[in-house]
Amino acid sequence: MILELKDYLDDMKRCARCSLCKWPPLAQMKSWRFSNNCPSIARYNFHTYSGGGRMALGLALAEGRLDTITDELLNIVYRCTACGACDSSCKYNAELEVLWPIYSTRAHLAGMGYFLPEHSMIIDSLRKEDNTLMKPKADRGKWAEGLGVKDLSKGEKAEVVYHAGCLYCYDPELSAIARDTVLLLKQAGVDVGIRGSQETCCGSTAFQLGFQGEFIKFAESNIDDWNAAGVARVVTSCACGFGIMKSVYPLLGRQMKFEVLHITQYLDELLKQGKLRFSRSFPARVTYHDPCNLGRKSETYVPWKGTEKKVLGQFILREPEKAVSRGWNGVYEPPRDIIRSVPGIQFVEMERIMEYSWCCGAGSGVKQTMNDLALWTASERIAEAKSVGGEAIVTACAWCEQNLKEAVRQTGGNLMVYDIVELVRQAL
Amino acid sequence: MQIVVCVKQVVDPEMPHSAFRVDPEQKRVVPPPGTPPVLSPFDQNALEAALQIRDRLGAKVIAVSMGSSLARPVLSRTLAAGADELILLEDPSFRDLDSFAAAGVLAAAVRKIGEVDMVFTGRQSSDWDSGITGCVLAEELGFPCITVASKVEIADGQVRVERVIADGFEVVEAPLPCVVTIDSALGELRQVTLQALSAARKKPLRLWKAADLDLPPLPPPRCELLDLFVPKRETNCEFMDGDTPGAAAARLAERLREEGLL
Amino acid sequence: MALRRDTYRLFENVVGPENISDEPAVLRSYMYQPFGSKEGVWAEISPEAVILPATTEEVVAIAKICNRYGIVFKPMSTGWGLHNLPGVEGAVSLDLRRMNRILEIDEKNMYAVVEPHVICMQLQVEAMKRGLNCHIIGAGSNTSVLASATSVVGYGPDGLSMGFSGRNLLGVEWVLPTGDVLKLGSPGAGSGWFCGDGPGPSLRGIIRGWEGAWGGLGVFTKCAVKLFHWNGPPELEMKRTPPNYVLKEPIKNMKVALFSFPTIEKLAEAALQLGEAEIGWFVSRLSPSFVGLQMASGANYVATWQTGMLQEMLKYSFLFVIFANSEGEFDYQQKVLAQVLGDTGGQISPVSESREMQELTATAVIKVDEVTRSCFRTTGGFNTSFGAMDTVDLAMSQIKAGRVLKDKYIRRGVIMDDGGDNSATLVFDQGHMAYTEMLLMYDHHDHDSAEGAYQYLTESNQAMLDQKLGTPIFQVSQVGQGKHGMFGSACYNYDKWLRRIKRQFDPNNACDPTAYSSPEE
Repeated sequence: MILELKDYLDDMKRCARCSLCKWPPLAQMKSWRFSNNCPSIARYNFHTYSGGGRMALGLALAEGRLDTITDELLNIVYRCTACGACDSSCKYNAELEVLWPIYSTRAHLAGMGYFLPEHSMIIDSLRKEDNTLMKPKADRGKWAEGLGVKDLSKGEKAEVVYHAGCLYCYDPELSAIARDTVLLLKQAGVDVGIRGSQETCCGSTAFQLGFQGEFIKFAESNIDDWNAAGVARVVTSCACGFGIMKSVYPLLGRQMKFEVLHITQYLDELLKQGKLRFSRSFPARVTYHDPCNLGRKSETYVPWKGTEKKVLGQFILREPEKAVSRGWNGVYEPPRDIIRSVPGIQFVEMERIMEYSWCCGAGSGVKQTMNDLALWTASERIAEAKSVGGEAIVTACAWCEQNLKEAVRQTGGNLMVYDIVELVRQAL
Repeated sequence: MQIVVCVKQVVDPEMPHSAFRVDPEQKRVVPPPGTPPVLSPFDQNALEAALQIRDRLGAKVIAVSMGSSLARPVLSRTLAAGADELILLEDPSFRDLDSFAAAGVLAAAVRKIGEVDMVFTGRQSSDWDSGITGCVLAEELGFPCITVASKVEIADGQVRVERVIADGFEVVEAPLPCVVTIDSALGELRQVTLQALSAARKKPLRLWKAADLDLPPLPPPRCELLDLFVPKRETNCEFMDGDTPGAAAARLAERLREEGLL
Repeated sequence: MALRRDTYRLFENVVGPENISDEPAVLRSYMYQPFGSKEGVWAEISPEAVILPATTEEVVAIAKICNRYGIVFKPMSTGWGLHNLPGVEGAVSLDLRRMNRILEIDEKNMYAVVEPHVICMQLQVEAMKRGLNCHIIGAGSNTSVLASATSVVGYGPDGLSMGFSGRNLLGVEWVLPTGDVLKLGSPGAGSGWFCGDGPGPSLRGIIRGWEGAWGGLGVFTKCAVKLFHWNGPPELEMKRTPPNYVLKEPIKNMKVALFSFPTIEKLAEAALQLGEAEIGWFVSRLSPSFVGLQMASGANYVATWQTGMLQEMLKYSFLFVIFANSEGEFDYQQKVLAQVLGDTGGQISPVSESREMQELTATAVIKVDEVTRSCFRTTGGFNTSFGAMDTVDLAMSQIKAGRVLKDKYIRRGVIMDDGGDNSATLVFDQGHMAYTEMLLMYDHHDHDSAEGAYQYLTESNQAMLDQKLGTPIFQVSQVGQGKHGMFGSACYNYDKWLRRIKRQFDPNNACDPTAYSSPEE
């Protein structure tokens, strides 16, 4: 099993409690207004809600210092989008894992049978319908009706399988984007297919909520299916899916005979190869929101296994040396390159970007279970986009897009929210 | 009418193979992190049986679970599905009881509840599959017991039960109170809604420890667990050659006979 | 002793149910305090509740409830260290995190008014937009501006040009332990925040004096601090060079260099001369270990350390930064520096000429963002010993004493071998004062190591007493009654004054005295 709280005891015991997890990397802080990095501590304020506080909570659980699992404890544990900003901020000074103890704490509690009522709905839906949205499995492929795209579940063969992801399949507004995506790929001459009603959830939500048993089932069956389909590439619009396939699937020890690409990487490649060309201008001042799962959380995670040796008296030397994922190798440039190459567009960065990007607030089941936290977090992002004069905010994740849109509707602003594919379609 | 449903919290039988581990020293299944326990599937059918009767005739449905460490969010699903009350028999001394001892504790709880007309259990639990508890519970209570029920009806103080048998079903009647163990053929437990899950928090949840029950000394274990291991699954693939398909088939038949499979 | 429900409700009425908690998981997370714990990471005493006030009025109301019902309270800002927790049972913690506003930056008069949870980095980035900068303490820019100004020490190596937190303190709003509000200096007269003293005795001496009351004398809810001229760009753009964020462009008229000297006496002499010449922007004596850990991963550090190269190159060295307002001034400072180096035999260390080191140190001296890396990363456990805010000579005497003592424990293998002399130190306040503290790293989860570190700290305190080296500053495990009782009689009975102050300002002993001074003799 990959989420074992006891594997992270040393990390949890060596937190310096310096609070770096509560801020963007200090050298990257640009203003007081946007000086938070963690939605959870920013919203709820008790230390427990920070990366360090969550490590202390995890340690207390692992050491048996919390004998009663209260509803409030569960609320604290799950009032967190597991966006990983704490982890990136910690790691430019230390080599501790922060995000994985957070996941593992959840897995520990879930293993004991503790979770929120909403989670049992999500997990039931996964078990029965292969998606997290409580939608019928049979309807999963409906978004692609009439597109004339190959269906690999019916034995057709293609070089690339397009994995739309749960939200793109079922949300009417978002499934239009999935349709556009397939059309774009076909227009660029890509030999693309889908898995129709046989496509399943990537397991990301289950993983992030700590239900790793459920996650493993989906991950293993996806890997097996793609291997069996003989595809060279899996291209997905779902940033959560991409993040989990890149960072966690490889830990399951199954050979993955395909390359995983996010749609932004693929479109960027097709644009750079001249297979897609922009012809229309998009005259707007646009900023880009990095989805956590496409950014810092898509970096392949290598759990450290080794021995600790004491040298120089008490210096704890890890052998072999630990590979530290700082979130610096996420997918940051491809979406930016796409935006920059749209004629007439004026691209402007927000203050918190890339590995220290502010989360939209939807991740890790928070949108489904604690919409107030999700919307508050999104409204902070919208304020940030406006502060740099953004007329539109572009993103590349269905959850981010949906959440930001709802927050704009709620706050009554005029900021436009675009999926990057929408932008590309409009500019072609 | 009061109906007691005995529900057991078990290791998820649908967990991925790679997550299943046993501790050979302790002879125990290691609870896998990230794989919550579930209500034993046949016990879910048992709860559904009780709820169907409640829907038709009106009754108070009390779910009872027993163990040393019970997960509230898992068991409160009984309340969300429609049970009126949940009683947790939780005590360190209830750890790893065998079916006989477990039936003893459950019987004490049923006696404490009092005025119970029916007790439903699953036909067997999905962890050990013994199928003993329901019958022993009936014995302890001095109630008649009908096992492997696929349909339960009550009329005129009698219970009429369809029992699953190898070539169909048989119908059995018994006077109340009685114990019925339920089969999956009765039907899946109804879906719960989020609202029901939230409302379940307001329903009564009682916690009874060993000291709260009028418990006779629990019988010593009647079964000894000698070993617990995950069976090794080996696959060998052998191709049968033959000049003609017929010859290959004949060779295949011979091989199967050699292996004692025909 | 759990908080009675009716008392809990009283606090809840003040801050709202979202901002008070006695949930065990919350309390546990507050009890995680490795810095200052004797062994391991858990405090022995739990607060009964944590309260998050948002305004002065809420702090006042909480303090009054505490006084009325005999409940002890203890405030914290960023909460780094065991001394932030109450040291008595039955107390409540006031986490001031929600009091986090920069209320004013007065560009013309060069000061800022801040609440307790404004961290140095927040103030710096806002100040820089206005051509100003703030002093950042050595512990890093993740610490509270107000806490070091009003309550705890306040040295930082940029103090060569930007003073000392205690001295930079101007007007203060102080919620006394009784719940009364007292405004120090000009705000008391409704005249703005520009001054911390009025006519008559200075209350700044009462509230903090030499090292501060460590949260034991009420709550400072607002304070003004001096800001200083910043001649760099209003926003500093960074680039990534794993694992560091470093300045994208070098800053004009800024020069960072490490200098080494033949002896520690020569180093001290150079520091003194530089102070007298009133040049320089930042100076810090950096130990080979500290520098090495800034730059390297664990394995690289160990490999480099074992060659002895770092120790040789940086035996007696300091990091000196010139940051001038004009090219002319830059040249002048360079010339003065060259002369001082000539007089004292100082040499530029080859390590400081590499681009990597230039980028890294230029960023680190401005941002002070990488303390955790050198202090906590290696062994997990960290503490500091000795401590002077006095003359260069005293600082050097402490270093010599500390080196001898630490060597003994390094030889026993119970603390990390960081070369012994791991002191972060040097002149501040334009060279008039000098600071030192002696760092030590140990494994706080290893009983022998933790015990050894504790013995070392105890022995270092005794050494200070015996060798007349002043009182230790950051002895978190020793602060409060223990320390003051030990050093009071050797230092004009200052502890009696602390106790008298405590009695006068906190008649009900409502504000936890553990880290400060007990009112009893």
